[in-house]
Amino acid sequence: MKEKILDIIEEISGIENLRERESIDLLDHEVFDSLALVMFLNTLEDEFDIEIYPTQIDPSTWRDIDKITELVESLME
Amino acid sequence: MIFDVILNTLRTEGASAAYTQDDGQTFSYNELYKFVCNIYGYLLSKKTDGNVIVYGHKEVYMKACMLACSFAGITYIPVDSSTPEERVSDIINQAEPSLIFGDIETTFCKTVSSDEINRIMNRPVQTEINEISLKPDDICYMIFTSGSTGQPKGVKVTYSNLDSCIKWVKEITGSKKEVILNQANFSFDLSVADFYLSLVTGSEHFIIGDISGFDFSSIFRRLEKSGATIAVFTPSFADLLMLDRSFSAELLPKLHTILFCGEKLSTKTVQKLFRRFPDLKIINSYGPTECTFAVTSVLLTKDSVLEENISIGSPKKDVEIIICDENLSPLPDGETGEIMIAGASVADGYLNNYGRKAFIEYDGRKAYLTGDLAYRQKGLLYYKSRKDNQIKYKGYRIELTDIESNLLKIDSVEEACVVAKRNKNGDVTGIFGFVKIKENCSTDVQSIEKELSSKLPLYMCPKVRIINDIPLTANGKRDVKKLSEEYI
Repeated sequence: MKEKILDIIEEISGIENLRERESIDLLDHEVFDSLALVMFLNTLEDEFDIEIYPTQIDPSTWRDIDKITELVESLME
Repeated sequence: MIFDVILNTLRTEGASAAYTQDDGQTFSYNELYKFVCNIYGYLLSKKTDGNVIVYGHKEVYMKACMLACSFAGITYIPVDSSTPEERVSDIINQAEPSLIFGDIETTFCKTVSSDEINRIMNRPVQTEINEISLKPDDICYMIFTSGSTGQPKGVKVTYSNLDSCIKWVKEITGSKKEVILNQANFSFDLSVADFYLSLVTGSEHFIIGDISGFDFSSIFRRLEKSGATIAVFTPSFADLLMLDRSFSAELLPKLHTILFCGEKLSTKTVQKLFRRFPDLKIINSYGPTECTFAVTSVLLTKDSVLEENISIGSPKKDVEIIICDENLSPLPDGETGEIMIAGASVADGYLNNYGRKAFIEYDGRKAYLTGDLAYRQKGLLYYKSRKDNQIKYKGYRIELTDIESNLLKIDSVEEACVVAKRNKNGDVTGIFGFVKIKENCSTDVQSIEKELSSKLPLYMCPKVRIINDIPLTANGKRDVKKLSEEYI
């Protein structure tokens, strides 16, 4: 799951070698801007057949690959 | 003209809300009038003339200073505090301001800090505004946009340009006394519409603050509280809000109109909006900063979304749009050519005559060659693409060569080629900067990106890729296609 999510983030953000620094803060390192976040969440919904309600999600989630992975896994249960 | 209307609004709207900030603080028209009068009095007492920079990020003092400048007949230049220092220096050097409002450290001219501005604004009023010094042909404001040489260029917008624009925006939105949502910062000309529309209608200007943390719960609470009736958005911003399904008529029951401008509006965005807000009036508009916010508009219906390409509409009455070929000859309906705009909205050119070729005279009128390609069908215009290296990204207009020039200013960079990544609809979804590093230089992607971010606004900063050589085509030109295919 995490691998797939990393692939999606790399593809959308254009950031290379994210795996080598996967603990970075995704917002502080400008991996996600508004356009990238729209594309990312739309892709997650399509790819994993889930519905994400950003207003119900702790905003710190967008900063952390592990938290995003946990979110997707919980929504798939 | 509109400043007569604005002065009347400031004097008569009293305790009505004029300006509400992100933190919930609301300023009434009484307070705003007091602030404007005091800044106006300060400008007169210091015998200020020429250009004045107003620096900050949507604080109420920015609105007060910009208005005070206009009443005093001074050109203002809004600069958002997100602008990197080097870019601000470029603007100061070009504009040669006589005064700067806001927290900028410079020795170029006198600056008035935000603390000092707040002290001035809150004094008892000594000078009322009795006349509007701005004349129709005077430059009301200058907004700096991306320039192809690596230097930003200042667009000189006259009072009569603005007057024509705001009267038209009021007409197409059917605005009365509203709550008008602001998305854009004041150095982005999208904000001109909500900034002035609120003033000519005695409406509340409701500022959406920083959204960079993507705290949707907080953003939505603020939106709900706003009671907004009109929004001026870029399509990208609407897409961001629509990520949550609660962005709907239930959240904003009074929202009756969204005015879009700044980038291409997609069918998908409009379809989604109609599902969430069945009774919403959606207006698409188009225009470059050089023609004062926008010059064409169309009210979209549920039938419009059956079209693959959403129209940008038809021109306002005092403007003519000519779809022309390279010889400036008008093309028949259905044929794609460059959009030339002639008439009342065309600005007074660029500061220091930068890019003189774009501003021309056509049929005895001022005209502007946009570089945008479009065609006309059944009286409506349809945008196709750019004819040059300029792109639209997140609503901002960016010259790719501007980014290249700034990459080349970095000591370790020998060659640079900037490429836009596009999705299947042709929309830009990212920017990539390919660089060749000078021999014997040791650097990495992060260092280059960091240095570039001190020169360019964040929305212009590309993802950097270091490559051994920029590939060339058989004709010796840079092979952008190969770069896109192999590295993006």
